[in-house]
Amino acid sequence: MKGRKISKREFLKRCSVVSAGFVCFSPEMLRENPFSEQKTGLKLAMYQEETPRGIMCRICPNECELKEGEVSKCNNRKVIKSKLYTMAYGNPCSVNIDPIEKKPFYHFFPGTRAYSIATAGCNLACLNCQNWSISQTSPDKTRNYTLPPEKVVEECLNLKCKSIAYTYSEPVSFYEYSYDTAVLAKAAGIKNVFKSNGYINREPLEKLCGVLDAANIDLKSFSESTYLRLSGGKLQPVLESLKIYRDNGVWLEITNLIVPTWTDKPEEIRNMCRWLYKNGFASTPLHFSRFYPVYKLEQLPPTPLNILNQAAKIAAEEGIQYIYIGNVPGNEMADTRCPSCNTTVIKRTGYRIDFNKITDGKCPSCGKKIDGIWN
Amino acid sequence: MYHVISTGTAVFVLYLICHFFYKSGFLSLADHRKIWNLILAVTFITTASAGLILALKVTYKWENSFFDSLLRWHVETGIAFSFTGIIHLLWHLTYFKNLFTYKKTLTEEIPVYKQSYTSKHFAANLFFIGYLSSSVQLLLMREILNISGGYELITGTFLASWLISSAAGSYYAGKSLFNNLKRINTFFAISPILSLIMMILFHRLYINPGETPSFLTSIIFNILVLFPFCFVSGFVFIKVLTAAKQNYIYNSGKSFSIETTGGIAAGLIVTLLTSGILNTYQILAISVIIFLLFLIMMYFKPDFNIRLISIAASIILILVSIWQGPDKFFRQILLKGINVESSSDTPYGNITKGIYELEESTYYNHRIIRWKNDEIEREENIHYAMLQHDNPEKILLISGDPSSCINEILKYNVKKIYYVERDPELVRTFMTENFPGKEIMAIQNVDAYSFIRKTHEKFDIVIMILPPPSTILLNRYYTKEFFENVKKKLNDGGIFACTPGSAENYYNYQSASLYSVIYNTLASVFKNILPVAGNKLYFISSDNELSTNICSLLEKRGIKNIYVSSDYLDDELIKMKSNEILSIIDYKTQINTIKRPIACFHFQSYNLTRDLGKIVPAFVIMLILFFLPVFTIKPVNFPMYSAAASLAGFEILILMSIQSSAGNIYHLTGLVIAAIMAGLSAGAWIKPFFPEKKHVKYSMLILLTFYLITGVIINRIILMNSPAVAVAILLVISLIPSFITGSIFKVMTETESTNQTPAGVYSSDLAGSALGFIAISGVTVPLAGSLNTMLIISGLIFIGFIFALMFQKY
Repeated sequence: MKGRKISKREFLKRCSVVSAGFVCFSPEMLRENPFSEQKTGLKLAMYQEETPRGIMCRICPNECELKEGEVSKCNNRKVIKSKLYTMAYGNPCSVNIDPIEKKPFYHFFPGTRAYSIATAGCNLACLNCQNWSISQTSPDKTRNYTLPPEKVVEECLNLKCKSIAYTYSEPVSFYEYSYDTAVLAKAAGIKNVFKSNGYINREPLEKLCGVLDAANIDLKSFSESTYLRLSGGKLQPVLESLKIYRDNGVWLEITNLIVPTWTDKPEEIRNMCRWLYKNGFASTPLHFSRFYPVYKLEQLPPTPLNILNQAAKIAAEEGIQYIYIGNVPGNEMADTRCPSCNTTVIKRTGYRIDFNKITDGKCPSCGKKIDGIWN
Repeated sequence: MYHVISTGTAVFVLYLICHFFYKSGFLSLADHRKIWNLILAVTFITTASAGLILALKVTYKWENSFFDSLLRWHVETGIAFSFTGIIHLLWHLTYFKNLFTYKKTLTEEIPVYKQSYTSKHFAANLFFIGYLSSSVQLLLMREILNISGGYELITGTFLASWLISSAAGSYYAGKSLFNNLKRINTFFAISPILSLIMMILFHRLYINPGETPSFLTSIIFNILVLFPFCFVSGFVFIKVLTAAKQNYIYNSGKSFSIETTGGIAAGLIVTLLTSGILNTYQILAISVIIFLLFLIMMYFKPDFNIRLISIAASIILILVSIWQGPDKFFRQILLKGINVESSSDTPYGNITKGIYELEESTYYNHRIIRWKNDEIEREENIHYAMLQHDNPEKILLISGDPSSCINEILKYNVKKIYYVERDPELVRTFMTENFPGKEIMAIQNVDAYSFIRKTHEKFDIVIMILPPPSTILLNRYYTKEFFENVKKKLNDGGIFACTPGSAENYYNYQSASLYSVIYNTLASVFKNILPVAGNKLYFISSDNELSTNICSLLEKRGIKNIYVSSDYLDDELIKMKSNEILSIIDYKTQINTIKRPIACFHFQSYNLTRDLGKIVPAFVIMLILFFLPVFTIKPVNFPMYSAAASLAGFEILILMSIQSSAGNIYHLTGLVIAAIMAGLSAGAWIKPFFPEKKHVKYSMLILLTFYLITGVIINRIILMNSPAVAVAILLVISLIPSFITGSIFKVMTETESTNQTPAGVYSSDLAGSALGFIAISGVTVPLAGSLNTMLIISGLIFIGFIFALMFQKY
């Protein structure tokens, strides 16, 4: 009798477990690829090193040490048979054509278009990422295009784009793909631009600088603790990257997204500008960008305009020469002015160039050199 | 490589040696155990300290080779610790066994209250327990949904956490010897405050400023916040019910009935008070004050003077709560960094006005809805749709901020603008300012779903600025039924625009599924659908041809904009983006209907992908949450579990049916809940209609028949010509299963010949309801449709019937 009771109960338990599994782990709920087949691009990763624990990726300061089968923090690198492979090669999930001003680049071939590509993956995890659907996943979970480097160059030429932008997610996490593409693009006379978080180690960055024409780096904050909480990264490696880009002759622009309650403290902005000035970035364009509630930071307001204006004022006081305010349609801080005579040398409305008076890289009024790559 | 086997073997060998020394008489038992306690302590401290330092290293990215070497120590000592722990577990096995074995040997007499308290006292106590439980539930749910994002899965998790915590409390009450009703009620009175403190504390500690927590965090947050109150709530009910029963004052059914009546009262009062009279925390404070006053009067037996002072103090505290409500204070804590100016609650949500760096913004349920310099939002909302029509004269704007949108609408030669917004407080917020065009606006303070059905007006353009289909309520506006009604109210060549989500540089599979469902649903009604990827994704629909040449159309009309203009946009790029979206649409996917709200399901799947790494742990916790009770419920109580789960699921279906029949959910939701609770209350009160020994079995059979028949006829009821008659029938129908379920509870708790206790039955009831709510609303209805769900509900009842046959042998 006892045995019978137990068996009924067991029956109930088993039924419950099976139905629970069926109901809650419905394939509909967790399915990942209803539309197309996987297209991963495995390629031996650059900058890998054997360590006692496993294989270390030396591309970025995360320096993931991975064992067999493990995947890096950027979701892009995996150890297969004791070798590190990138899964992001020739398989971008996002391909678009954008005005170069959208990146934003204001001192680099204004008015041109950039053929923009991104694979899945990022080495940071920002709470306010507007591309979270690609940055916080891996290439084997996205719907990808088959676009090897030579095809990217070909498409870029066909579509008459001046440059290839490695953007949206984080190009450092698809380093091999962007490097190989950039090599081919350079040979074909196409410019290469990085829109990056600057979270990269010296050696791979120096190699990359050899083929890169311009970079826009997100300087997310000027506080180590905020960097860590907001993005899961560190400030110092980004500052180091800025110097490396500059020293290697890559045209550099810096973006500082001002997130209310996180990165909008005037002292912090002043410290950042002061550091930039002292370290030789006075003539590097600085874009203060407006935040909009997105991804995990949905319960914040967009950045008030007076904060952006105040940031621009602080930057000017600290000696930064080219200051812009972005993500604010119709604002007046989108024009390029001569730092010497204050003449408007490039007038912009949105992404459109109303006029560009720069001649031979100089201000038409006073003849001062306007920093940038103009033609 | 770590030394799992070698360290483990070493520990066991050492133990055997030590044991041998003890058995041989070299060591006393006490010393033998001291040695192993010491080993346990040392390995624990080493493992824990190393683990803590490693956690700090990872969190703060400390770089030092010393820290790296700690990992090995952490793991190796952890292995030793684990094996030593196993030895200790074996020592104390009997103790742990006893923890999970209920012994009836120690019983404490229930105090005799009959001499001191009349049935009215107990009735009042039970009523106030029901009232406070339900009011705190309704109020905390609003707050937790605001914090966690408010989508359906969170609601289900909230209800499940609530019911399961209450079930745990009532289950434990059945075993506990703690019977002091005065103290138990006092704990109950202060437990809402405890839950509130937990909510604020965890919000400050674990949620960043402006952050919407992940689903996993939300589940843990729900459980931690709700447990203190719900556990005590389940406990106090069972204790009072048992006391009432043992003092021959009320039987369990009547107690349940009175408690349920308190719950109904709470539902009605809270709904009434949140209609612009009082705010969430004010109502919460007043409810606690009233309960405390009742407590003093009933259990502390104060003399006349103290009574007077208590009443006066309560009145003063209530007045203070009304005059200086705590809502602003709490809202300030929850919206970190924003200077909260005002906060008001309506039956539909919370409206907070805040200032940040001199700029005012308005939040609805903690999400921003109005801010300065909103050119992108307002221009995109209006122009993508308006440009598609040659001469738009009559416009219907569903929700959104009219004071902002109207500037854009007036750029066309518009004659009349209808603005429909359900929340009157929101309308007041938007309409405070004077703005041009206000004179041609007709404001309709009604539900858009009802408005579209009933209006005799016809429009050139309908622009819907509602949030995506994150809940079943919002899903209504993305269904075929709604789109069909919209089309009927459009003039020839009319345009309909909606925004089911954000536009992205990449659409993942889940967002592609969501947009495919919306696209196909629109395509089942309109001839042409044009996706426009702005900052949000817009679906423009019409029977006329649609164009992606936004900039050309603007130029042709001579309309000057700031953002929607050739300064920012390019027709060629708009077309490319539009084609890209069309390329990811799955044209074979099913369409979204009231009876099968699949868009809501896909939205939630999409939302879960924000934290891909946390989906599996979240679902594991949910599984444990739902199915742990199954393992603790006695088979004899399973009929109660299945009846409660079915009733909860049926409640969801009735709500959905009323949506499609009457098109209005808000006020009728209260009526449906009241009808179901009234049925439960009546069933638990009235004498059983079958012989006691056969009542549960017969009732289960009636329920089975009822659910099967209802499954067949419900569609006919929904499609009746008179919605009022249909709603009335649905409300009457909902009384039947609730009445039967109530009577099952009554019989199961009052049958002396069985070994089930009220605690066991009540906890089965609560756990079953939890399963019913989330499984039916979150999974079976969207995936299987309402008809199949009725079959699933019937299947659940059938299992309950089988269990009744097998185990209820009295």
